[in-house]
Amino acid sequence: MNISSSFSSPLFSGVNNKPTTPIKSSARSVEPIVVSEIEQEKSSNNQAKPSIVIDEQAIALFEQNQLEQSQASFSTPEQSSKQSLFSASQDQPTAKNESAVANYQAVGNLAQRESVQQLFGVDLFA
Amino acid sequence: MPFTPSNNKDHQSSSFWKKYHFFILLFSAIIIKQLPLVSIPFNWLESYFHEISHGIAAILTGGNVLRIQLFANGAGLCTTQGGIGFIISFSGYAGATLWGWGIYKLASAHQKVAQGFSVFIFILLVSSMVFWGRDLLTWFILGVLAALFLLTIKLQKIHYLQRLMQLFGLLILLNCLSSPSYLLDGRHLGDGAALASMTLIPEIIWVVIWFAIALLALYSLYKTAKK
Repeated sequence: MNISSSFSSPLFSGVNNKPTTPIKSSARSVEPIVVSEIEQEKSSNNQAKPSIVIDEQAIALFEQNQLEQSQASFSTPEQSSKQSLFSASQDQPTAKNESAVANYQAVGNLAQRESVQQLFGVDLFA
Repeated sequence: MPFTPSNNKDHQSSSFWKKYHFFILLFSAIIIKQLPLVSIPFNWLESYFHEISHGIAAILTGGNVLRIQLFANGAGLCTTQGGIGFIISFSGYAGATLWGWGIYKLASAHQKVAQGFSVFIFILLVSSMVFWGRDLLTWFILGVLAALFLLTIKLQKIHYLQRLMQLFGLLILLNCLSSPSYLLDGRHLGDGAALASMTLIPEIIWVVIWFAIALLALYSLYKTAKK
């Protein structure tokens, strides 16, 4: 069984290592250092025991974390609007960019302004 | 043809007319200008040629005419867009003088030329009504002027058409002599004020220039009539 996860170390720090059903040796450890230490202990005590010990609690925490992440993706409209606001504020252009766009638009408006001025710029001769 | 007293009388009157027709027409024009009601259409005539000169100058200098307004008291307004302001402003009084001089000259040249020019002015008046007239009063004034020229075209004797055209020309010139002086009212309004603001040359100088042009045109007609 391959276990691939991104567990953080605290999960393993205070772990009550409860040996589970024997796992084949070909299995790869999640955290090589920690597992190898445990493995060394186990191997020294009992050679018949499996070389990799999997922490059930850590897996449960991982699964819970995954579940929370998936729930977050299907959140309520309020939550999503908050999130979009947050993302919109992140997407807002900087002041420098805004001034550049304003300058660009001002140049574009010059021709339009001139045409309007020409439209209303009439002379009266008595 | 045998010589009779009546023939002699006709000959004398004809030579008298030939000799003094310019002064007779000028005197008639001065009299008409003093008459309260009769002078009104002729004031409109000068006002129209003044405004149309502004308009033609605007078109010739790359602008366009939006509107021509004529008022019962002989005032007028020409609304233009674009063109060269200096030329448009100057051409009002100068152009009207040119029109007066041209009408007299062409009417004197040939009967057919006089008739053709009368038709041209009639078409110009109708076109002005259609393209630049925007209000009832202007349409009415332009209509009266068009009718005036239509009457001259319809005259049975083209000789009378010539005399009438000459009279119109002189009436326009007389108005051109007097009307620039109306600008000197201290209000700093009108073509003279516009030119003064453009060139920094005082308004009175422009008034004198326009007066001089009109006087020169009148003198030119006198010289032509004398020949």
